[in-house]
Amino acid sequence: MKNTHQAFEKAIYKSDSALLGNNIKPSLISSEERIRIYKDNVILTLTDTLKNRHMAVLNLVGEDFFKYMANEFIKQNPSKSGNLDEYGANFYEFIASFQPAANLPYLPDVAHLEWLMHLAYFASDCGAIDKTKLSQVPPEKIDQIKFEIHPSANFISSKYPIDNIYNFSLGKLDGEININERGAKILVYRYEYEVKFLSLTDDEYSFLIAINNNNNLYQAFENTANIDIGSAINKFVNNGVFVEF
Amino acid sequence: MKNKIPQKAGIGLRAQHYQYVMNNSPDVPWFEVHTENFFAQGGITHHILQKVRNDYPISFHGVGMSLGSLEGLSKTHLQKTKELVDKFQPALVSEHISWSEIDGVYMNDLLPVPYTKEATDVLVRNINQMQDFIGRQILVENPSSYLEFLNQEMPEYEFINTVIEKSGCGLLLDINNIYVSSHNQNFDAEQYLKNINHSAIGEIHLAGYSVRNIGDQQILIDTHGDKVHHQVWDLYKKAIELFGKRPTLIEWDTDIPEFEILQEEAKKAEEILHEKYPSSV
Repeated sequence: MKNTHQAFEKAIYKSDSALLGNNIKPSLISSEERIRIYKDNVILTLTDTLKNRHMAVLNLVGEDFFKYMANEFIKQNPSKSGNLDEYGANFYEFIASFQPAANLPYLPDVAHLEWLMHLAYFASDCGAIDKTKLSQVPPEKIDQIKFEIHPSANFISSKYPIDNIYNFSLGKLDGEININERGAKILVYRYEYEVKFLSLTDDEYSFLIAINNNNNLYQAFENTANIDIGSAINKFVNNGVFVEF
Repeated sequence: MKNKIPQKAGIGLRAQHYQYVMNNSPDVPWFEVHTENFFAQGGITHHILQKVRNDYPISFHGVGMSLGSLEGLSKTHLQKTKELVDKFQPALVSEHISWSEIDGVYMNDLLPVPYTKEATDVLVRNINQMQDFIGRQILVENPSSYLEFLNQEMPEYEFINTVIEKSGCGLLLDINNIYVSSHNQNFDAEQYLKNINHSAIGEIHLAGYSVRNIGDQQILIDTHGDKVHHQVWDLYKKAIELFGKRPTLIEWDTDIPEFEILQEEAKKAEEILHEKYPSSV
């Protein structure tokens, strides 16, 4: 049985069906054709899995190129779980090293953004912050507040405007994008049931990273000179980024 | 909350129809979901499942446990399944007679198990592990198959009957799979129906297959992407004549149509149940 299982793995991931073919009853349909059905099913499942969570990448490169890229990825990265939610965590790293995609330098970061959105979709639930309790914190103690960020939150920083590229690829933004115009710093998270991302200024990004590293407000503001305390707190409270303190 | 699957025709619920079901609360006797589609820690999927669970009896149907794995089951997969079963208390829990993992590498499909004595032992050990872990009986589904192993020691029905007898699990009998495998392996589907353990059958699946032409030969593929074929309806009629009514499910997983089409398919199954057992439906 072990030999059969190993032979299946060879046939599916290494396109070598000779060994498995030896244990299949001969018929009018060749063993190779019969094995190909299983191989096609697995590759199709994994390709569709990658596709469904990388719709922006798909739209940016087109169906044929995506399929080619996904096939190469699958060959080098067999699935390691019966739970397909976990498949494709390193797809963006693969794209970064995938020579045929080198002329789209922003593509790995768009794929990374989509992976973080995928993670946010499945992350734990979390209640909303108690705004009344927050409003009752005495002014002299505000500096000491330690905010907790929603458990779905992740950060991504790119040399390219991937927020606009993402929206453009999904038809949510018209016009032309100058990919070298600016970079992007983004917070990806889920607000109630909706996966969102917030584009951040450099200071907001540093501030949130500091908060996420368990610093209090005073410490988080120390290195972010151009940020307005009140409006930053309002922004992240009202958008459901801060969930507890 | 309803917690018994009626002997009526339910529908396999997929993401494409979550919103429709949430908005319209359609008249469906029960729903089945793929367990792995709810492995998230939180978010919208749990919210949807809770709403569906509040309104309908539900069944959990796993596709990734790999009951034919040689080295036992994934602890993570077991744990996530158990958490969902504990939380949502489905009326039925089922998995497949198949495997997908070797040495930590997964082929996310329902790969065929050889019908040997060694494989019965593996299946029984793993089914027992799953039943012990989640604390309840499971149903196992007969596979669709595109090949036959040379080292096969017994027909599929005998293999399944042995597994059921030794593990105490129940059977989810997929009529489409019997038809597909009987065509692809050239065995007699009616003989299979007569010989399979009738009392263990807790649920029936119906789905559509597709045909792949290879030279002048045809092989049937279990795509779940079409209406139930008339040959499968005929076999379904024979099945319920043989062993009586069972909860029956319409499955559709690729090229998923409007929800109403699934309801029409379920209605056809209901009509057959009514025709065969008029007084009790």
